Amino acid sequence: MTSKTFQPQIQDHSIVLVGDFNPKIFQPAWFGAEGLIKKSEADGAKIEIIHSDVVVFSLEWLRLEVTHQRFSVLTTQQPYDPIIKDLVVGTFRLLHYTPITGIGINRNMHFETGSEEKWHRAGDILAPKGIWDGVFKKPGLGSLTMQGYRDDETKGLIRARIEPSTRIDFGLFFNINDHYERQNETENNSKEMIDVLETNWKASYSRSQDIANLLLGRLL
Amino acid sequence: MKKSLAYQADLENQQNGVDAFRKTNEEIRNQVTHRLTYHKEILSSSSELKNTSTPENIKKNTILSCNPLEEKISYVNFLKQAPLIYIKTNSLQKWEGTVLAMGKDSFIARLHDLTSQNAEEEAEFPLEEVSEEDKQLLVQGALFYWDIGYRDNFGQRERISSIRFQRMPAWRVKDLEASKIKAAYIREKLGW
Repeated sequence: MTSKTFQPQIQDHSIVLVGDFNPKIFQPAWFGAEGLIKKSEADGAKIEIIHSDVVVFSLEWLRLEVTHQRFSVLTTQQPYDPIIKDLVVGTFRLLHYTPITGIGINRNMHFETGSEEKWHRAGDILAPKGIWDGVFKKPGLGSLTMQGYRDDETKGLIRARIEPSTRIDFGLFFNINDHYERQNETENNSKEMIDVLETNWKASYSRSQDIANLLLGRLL
Repeated sequence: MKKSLAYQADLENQQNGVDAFRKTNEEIRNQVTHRLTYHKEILSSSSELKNTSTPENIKKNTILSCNPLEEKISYVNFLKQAPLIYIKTNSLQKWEGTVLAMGKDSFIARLHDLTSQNAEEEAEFPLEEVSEEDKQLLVQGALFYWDIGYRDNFGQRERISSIRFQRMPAWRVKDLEASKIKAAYIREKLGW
């Protein structure tokens, strides 16, 4: 896809794994001891909760949340986008018996439209208001989600959600969720999905920006 | 536009710096409720974390925690805050580098431009650009990420150049042995 490049004003990147986890393992000290994060970062981690059912802690550049069904890491600092990918890959190369059934590579991006007029026009293009005449007063786009398939053979979907931004006046918010599902149901470990993450992360990361660029080029 | 209390926290943080952010955060914390209820039966599947935080959504979450020693169940409402909202870093230019050679005060690396599709180039970096903890990772062949951009930190914008080395777990002896066995098996199957 070649189109004009739009820079998001606010963005974050997260990787979410679905599977069967033991939250208590994922403490800052463990990550530091395994060399997956710096020891000083582990020592300075801000711990919100460590419990057998849920662990949540933050570093300067990362927020990690783990429950029995879900493992997620998020960063709002762009230089650390590949670092959280490395953290997930490194973690589950070590914990290779952990069953992982799905991975989501997600990007949230807030873009300026430049004016209220452009903002309204974008909403009208995405969701034409004519069909809503007489349904209720002042219909407006709240949220739109579209989904489709990737060009490759991996199992899963891409979802793009567009909403008015709650952080930028007259801005647009994009959530791109690139979801991969396990294909080999007999292998109950992390290998397949971590291989998928390692192989596809770069393309997925670029694709989310490409999707936003393509749509914004058509909307603005 | 009607703005939530937490959105105000974000906005004030960026506009007025640390003091305003702390004041609004204090108001948010005062909304956290805590109720202790005593029950005879301890629930086995005791915790349920609903929703994870996203930067644009700030929702209340209820965590039901169980302390088997005290045989009580506490209901704690957490007001989830958007993580790291006071530090944002945007990259203007990004490279992926591979260490080619080490010198006394510097190292030479091959750089692959991730921002544009320019050809690879080589560059020399002073060792002082590498954090003390990352220096142990600085070996020939090591992969690192180099970003130039800006960081918004409590309303203050600063230019940054950051080098961060890839951290992967070391191969364990048993993993190396397993790989050798697998390689031998494949070689035999191929008849090499």
